[in-house]
Amino acid sequence: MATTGDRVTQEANVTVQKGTRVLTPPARTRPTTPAEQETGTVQVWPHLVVIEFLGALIITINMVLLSTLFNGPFLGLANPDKTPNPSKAPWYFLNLQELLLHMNPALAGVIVPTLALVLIAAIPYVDRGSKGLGVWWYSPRGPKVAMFTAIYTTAVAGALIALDKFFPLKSNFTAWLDTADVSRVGQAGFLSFLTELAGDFLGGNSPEARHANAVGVLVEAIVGWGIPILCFIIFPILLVVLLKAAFKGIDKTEIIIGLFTGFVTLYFVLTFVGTAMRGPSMDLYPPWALPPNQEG
Amino acid sequence: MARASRSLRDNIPPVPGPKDLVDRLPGGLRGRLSKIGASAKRTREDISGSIVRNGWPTSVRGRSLAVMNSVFLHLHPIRTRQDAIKMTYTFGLGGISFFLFLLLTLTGVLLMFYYIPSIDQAWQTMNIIKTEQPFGWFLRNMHRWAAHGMVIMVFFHMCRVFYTGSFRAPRQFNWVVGVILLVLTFLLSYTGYLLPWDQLSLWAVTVGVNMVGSTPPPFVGDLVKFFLIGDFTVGQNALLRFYTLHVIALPLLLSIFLAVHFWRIRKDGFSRGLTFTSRITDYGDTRSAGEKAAGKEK
Repeated sequence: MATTGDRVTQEANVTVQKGTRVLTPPARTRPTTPAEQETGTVQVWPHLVVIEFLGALIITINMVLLSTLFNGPFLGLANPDKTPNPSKAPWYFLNLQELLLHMNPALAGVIVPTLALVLIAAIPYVDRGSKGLGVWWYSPRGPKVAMFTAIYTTAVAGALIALDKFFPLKSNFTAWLDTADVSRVGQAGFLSFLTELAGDFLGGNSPEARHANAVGVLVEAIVGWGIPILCFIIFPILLVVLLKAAFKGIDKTEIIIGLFTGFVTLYFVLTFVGTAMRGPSMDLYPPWALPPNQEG
Repeated sequence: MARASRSLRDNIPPVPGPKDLVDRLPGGLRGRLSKIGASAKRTREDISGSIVRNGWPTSVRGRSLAVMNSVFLHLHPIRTRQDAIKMTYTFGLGGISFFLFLLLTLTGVLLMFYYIPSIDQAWQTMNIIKTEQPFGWFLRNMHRWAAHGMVIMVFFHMCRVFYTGSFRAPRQFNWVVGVILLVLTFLLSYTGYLLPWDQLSLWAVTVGVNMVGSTPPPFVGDLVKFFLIGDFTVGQNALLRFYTLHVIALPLLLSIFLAVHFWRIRKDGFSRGLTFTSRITDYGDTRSAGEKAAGKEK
């Protein structure tokens, strides 16, 4: 409000003669008539309508140029028998496809995105009050919180992707659990108990098959569900703890700015990795050495 | 003409104009012509006056009427806070998203004249649009790039609204509507992705559909997947469903939510500074219902 008030007073010092053209850039958006100076408001026609018209014009010109210079992709006729390697979703879903590589599909493809959208929609009902309304970044600390979070999220996401690349959790856990002695099946231990269950619920005629089933279930429970869920809980909490340590007296709104920035950063990082760093068989490559798509 | 000039020009008689010629006509014809002229002028004024309810606005009252009396502009208030139209506040991201939606509707309708949603003809008609139809390639490119642009702009618009705290009371529900619009934008883009029926679209959509199909528990996932593509794999049924969703169901839904979104902006007032609307309706008290009940001080 202070800025508005200041500007109005400042404008009031300008003598506006009768018949002065209202549309004189760069003062287009400033109040010019006495009535406008009094209220700090301007006529929508022409002040806003002109901006909208120019905006539409600029976008149209840009789209015409873009469409003239660059062709949209159009490959050969769809063939259900020829799977391209890799097959990728549209770019805005590649973040989910990246998650898919590290956890159970139900978690990556349905539960996480649904939860994310619900949490985003819930922001106004959690962060209440009118402080910060209509002000970029809420407080001088806002941009710093966002920057801190962006770096933190990029580092954590990068580290976790690298971990799964150089120390693949799924194969490692399978290897560990597989070393259990098959001959001891049914005698003792959690894995043996699971193996028994596997016999009843998941099938498997031989002890080896039961054991393989049990190992599969256990690995999926740990690597597909347990570890990812823990990551989704621990790393946001760690972020809040770090923010509280780094910024003394940080308030709820600033913490929510941090969490939202974390979501946006994660979206961009995963989209980038999924788009520019995943090659054949969805293996990880540096963006500058990404092999071309192989036709199936 | 008062100045005395001695140049040769002054001696040349003026070239007769149309009016002089009319004056030389016999009286009866002249009268009839002037009647026709007056009638034509009146008809012209009637037509232009019936299209726009007011003439070109020159006064404050005229400018107010220009906004109030136009179906396209009447969602705007008559006056707005000068802060509200500052470019570096909104960057016009919501407006750009909406304009791209209009561009997509226009190019989409034109593409529909040629495109056939059948697995035997979809790719071929796309190929014809790209290679044979005059400016078909242009329409298709614009539809493609504008679609990507809309996804990006809607996402950035969400970020702008968040970082300026514009979701705060009384705008909470409009933020929720915005999240719904984001989802609808994703779905519109995704359903359109299948339509070219090339290798890119088939496999991209297959990946996405399998993701949806993993909804727990497994039998629900299978049901959802079958409901979405009408088959066990992406084929003719999926193409027809995605086409119908893409050209009518989702745009209709999006338009309805857009109307609510815009209407709420108008009713809730613009977030930066007090708007004219909020001066009238007084949204000064932004405490939640619970806070009011508890008598909590602002």
